Amino acid sequence: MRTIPFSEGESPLVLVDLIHSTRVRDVVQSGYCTALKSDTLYDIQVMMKERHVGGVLITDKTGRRLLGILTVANIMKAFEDGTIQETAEHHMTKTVVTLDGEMPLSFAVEMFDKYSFNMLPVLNDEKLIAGVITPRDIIMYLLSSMNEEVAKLEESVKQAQSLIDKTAGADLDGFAQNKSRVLRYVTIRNDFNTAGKISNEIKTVLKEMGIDKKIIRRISVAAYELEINQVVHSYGGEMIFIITPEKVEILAHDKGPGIEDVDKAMQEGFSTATDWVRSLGFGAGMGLPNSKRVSDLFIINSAKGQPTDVRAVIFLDEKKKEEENRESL
Amino acid sequence: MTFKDLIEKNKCRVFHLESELENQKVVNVIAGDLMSEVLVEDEENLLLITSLNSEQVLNTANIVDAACVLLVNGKTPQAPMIKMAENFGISLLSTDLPMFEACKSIEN
Ligand SMILES: Nc1ncnc2c1ncn2[C@@H]1O[C@H](COP(=O)(O)OP(=O)(O)OP(=O)(O)O)[C@@H](O)[C@H]1O
Ligand SMILES: [Mg+2]
Repeated sequence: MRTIPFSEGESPLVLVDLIHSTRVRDVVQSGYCTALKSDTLYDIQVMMKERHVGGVLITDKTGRRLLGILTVANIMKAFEDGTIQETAEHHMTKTVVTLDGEMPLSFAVEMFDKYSFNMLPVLNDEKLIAGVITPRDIIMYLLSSMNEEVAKLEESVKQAQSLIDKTAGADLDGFAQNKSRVLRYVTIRNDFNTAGKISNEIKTVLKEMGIDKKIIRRISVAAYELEINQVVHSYGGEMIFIITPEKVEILAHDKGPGIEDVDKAMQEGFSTATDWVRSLGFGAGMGLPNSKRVSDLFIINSAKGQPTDVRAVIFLDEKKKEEENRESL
Repeated sequence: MTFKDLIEKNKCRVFHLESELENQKVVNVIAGDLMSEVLVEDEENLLLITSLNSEQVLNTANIVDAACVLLVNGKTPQAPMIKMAENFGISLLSTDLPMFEACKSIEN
């Protein structure tokens, strides 16, 4: 049997995320055909032909409670057996596999893969019919969501390219003028394949510049935590590193959705990470406290619905650090 | 206990081993599956024990200059992870022992 070409470990992360975050209720169709158990198979078959459906839900008189299901296969058998004038009651499938609106879409995909159903009824909390779902509905939904995701990715790539173009100039100018370097990078939402690359690249740059190992470690920790936060919690953003002989300044700026309560977010152990994010190794609620601890100066600005802006400064030169501290007193 | 002892005692599979590591003593150890908890650590030459089998483990290990990553529960790292370990110069091992047993096996 052919299996569905989707795998947790190998499929692109946008797809894994999509399949996991989508619920059956997002896809369910409210248009479906019902009949009563007292209706004849012949009448039901006429309705199926007229409405182009492959299955009919047999319900009680209210039309909301599911008693069974009748499909093309049942009808064909009835024609063969000569029972087409009988009522649905004794010919419908009574043990119906149903779905719950809250189930992840991946579950519905599995059910269609496992059984050869063309349609599955979806029930609400009160066990009343909420609608039906067909493989076609799933395909349509995924295709349109994938269109959106790909459009977003294309936009990120375009932005990244324009930033790289800008950076090429900025880097050289800055270096010639005052021996400082400005490096800019773009982060992409949920892109765990490249998450962490920016901070490790910065680490290499700083090593090549001959900066003290302990200081490099502090800068890298702040950079990594802020980078991962943009990937995990934001819609994506940019990380700017300004390296001068006195200090390294990290500016992390993203496109939202912002932090509702910044004081709370700064507390050790506070996290809004999902189980999925936790399974990837994040969500201890230690990222922001860690970045603050390793920084000499740490300023965070954010609010619900706003971008999150972080400025973290680490001095390379102890004297400079004392001077600036005195100034700020 | 040296890293060599650790490898023998826990029947570790070795995916990458920095030559100078073998005879070094295992001194600083941190165990966990949440990377930010590892980044709290200030010690040098860390041995990082984790059941998280992903590239983020190596990113994290490199950030804190860890010497060695030990995967538990018989996890097998994928090729890109081994490549990263080589590039970063971080030794990468795996043992069939669960987390608790692996930690217990380390004597000081
Ligand atoms: N860039 C951001 N955009 C939106 N929310 C953020 C951002 N950064 C942090 N947060 C919020 O602040 C919380 C605390 O962040 P912090 O980095 O301390 O912990 P975490 O990311 O949840 O877990 P850890 O960093 O330990 O893996 C997050 O759970 C999230 O709700
Ligand atoms: Mg974090």
